Amino acid sequence: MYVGMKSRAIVVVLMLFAGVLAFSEPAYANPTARYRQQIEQFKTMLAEQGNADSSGVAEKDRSLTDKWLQEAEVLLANGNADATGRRLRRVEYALDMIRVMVASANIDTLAEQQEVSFHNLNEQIKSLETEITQLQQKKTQLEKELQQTRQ
Amino acid sequence: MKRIYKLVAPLVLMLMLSVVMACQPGPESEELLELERMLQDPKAQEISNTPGASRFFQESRQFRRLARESHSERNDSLSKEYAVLGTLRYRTAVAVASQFEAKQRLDAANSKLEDGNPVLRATNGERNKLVNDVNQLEQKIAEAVRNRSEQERLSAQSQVPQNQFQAAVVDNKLTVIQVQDRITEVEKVRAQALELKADQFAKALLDRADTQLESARNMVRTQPDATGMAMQQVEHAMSMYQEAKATSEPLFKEFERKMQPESRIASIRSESQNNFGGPYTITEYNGVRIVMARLFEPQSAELRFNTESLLDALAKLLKEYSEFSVSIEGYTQKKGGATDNLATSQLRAHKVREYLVGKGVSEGQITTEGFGQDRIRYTDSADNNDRVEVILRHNR
Repeated sequence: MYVGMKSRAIVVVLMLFAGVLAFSEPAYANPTARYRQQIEQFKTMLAEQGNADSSGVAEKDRSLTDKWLQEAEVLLANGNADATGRRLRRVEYALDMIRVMVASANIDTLAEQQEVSFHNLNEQIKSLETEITQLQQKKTQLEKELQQTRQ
Repeated sequence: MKRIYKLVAPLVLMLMLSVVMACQPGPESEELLELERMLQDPKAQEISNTPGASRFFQESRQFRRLARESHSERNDSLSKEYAVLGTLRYRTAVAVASQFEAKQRLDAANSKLEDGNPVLRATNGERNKLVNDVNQLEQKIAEAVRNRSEQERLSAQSQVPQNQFQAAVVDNKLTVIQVQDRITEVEKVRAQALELKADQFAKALLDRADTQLESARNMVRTQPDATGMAMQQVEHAMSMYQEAKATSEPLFKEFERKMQPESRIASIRSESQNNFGGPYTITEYNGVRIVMARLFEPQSAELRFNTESLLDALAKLLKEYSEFSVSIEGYTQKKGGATDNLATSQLRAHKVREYLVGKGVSEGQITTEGFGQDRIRYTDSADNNDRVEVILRHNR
């Protein structure tokens, strides 16, 4: 009886898996739609990177990627799915690169700001140390003055 | 045959070479060459060791291999495509390496800041403490300066009289003489003030000046070393005498004007009429006669009830015009014997004199006389003749 239930459970799982494959089949079966969807996703991602690239470090690459996206759209419109797939792969890799470049540039900018802050901190500490020296001199002078005044 | 072989052999060789050449792949694409250069760069190894970048680096190498294979298979477009992908992966690895360096740089900067902040806090704290110390010192100095100034001021105040005292000691005799001379001058001014009746017109001021002058006299007498203070008192007294003199002078002039005999006679006539009434006031030579009718009980020297007010007014008038002589004449009505009436009239005159003297009128100013039932003034009412008549006359 136990063996029978196990077999039935395996059958159910296999049926579910088959159902999932059946429903997901159209996406694989229709690459044009998938590419179109990818193109839109990539456009959005490229735009996001454009907004994030405040230093313009990936400007040329973004431009090139956009050109590849446009080519992909043309190729897709011409029904050249293989070429479209290749362009979109370039775009995917380019977006990976751009994302890292922009992140790197932003971290670099932040590091520079922190270094400036540290420099200012040092300047501030130096200024304070100068002021402390002056204050110590003034304090000594005032202590003498107070002593003389009280005499 | 050999000659043919010699001719054909190079051709065959060339043919074979051309076949071989034709079988070799073409030159590598620019993309592949670029990838090759990148991967051969000395920094490539360094990048490959960077955490997170190695994956992309390995992928780029794989794409180079695929590109080479495609190239060797004469599939140039695929080779180019793999080269592009390989390049992208390699540059991604470079970007990751850069990101890693930037992250290290950021961490270092943050670390420096974190290290610097306590230093800054400590330095700032030290500076604030010093500022506080300096402020407190300045306050203490200001307070000390104030105290010192106050002490100097008090010392100066105590030294001024001391100096005057010392100066007085040095020049004691001369100073005492000066004070005494000054007192003499003050006394002259006092006398002038008294001539102006300052004791009447500026009595309070004159009294204070007298007190001050007396104090100065005592000081010169008992404390000859304190002539400075004595001189100050003398000067104070002098100023008060002068003020009393100045106050009294216009009042005295007015008084003098009023004290002229004609003025006084006219004045006493006027006041008599006001106080006792026209019918009872009679003008006399250099004076006035006041008839105080019905003043006594009949045939008696006893004053009638409620006559004191009348006599009080008379006393006041006599005191005010003290330069006038007062003659009190007693009278009676005809009722009774003439001798008794004469005696009664004399008693009545005496009675009034006693009352007036009792009210402060000078006794030497007053004379009395009794006329009895002679000189009946009122015929309509006999009792009105129980009277005295007071004659006030200026002694000019």
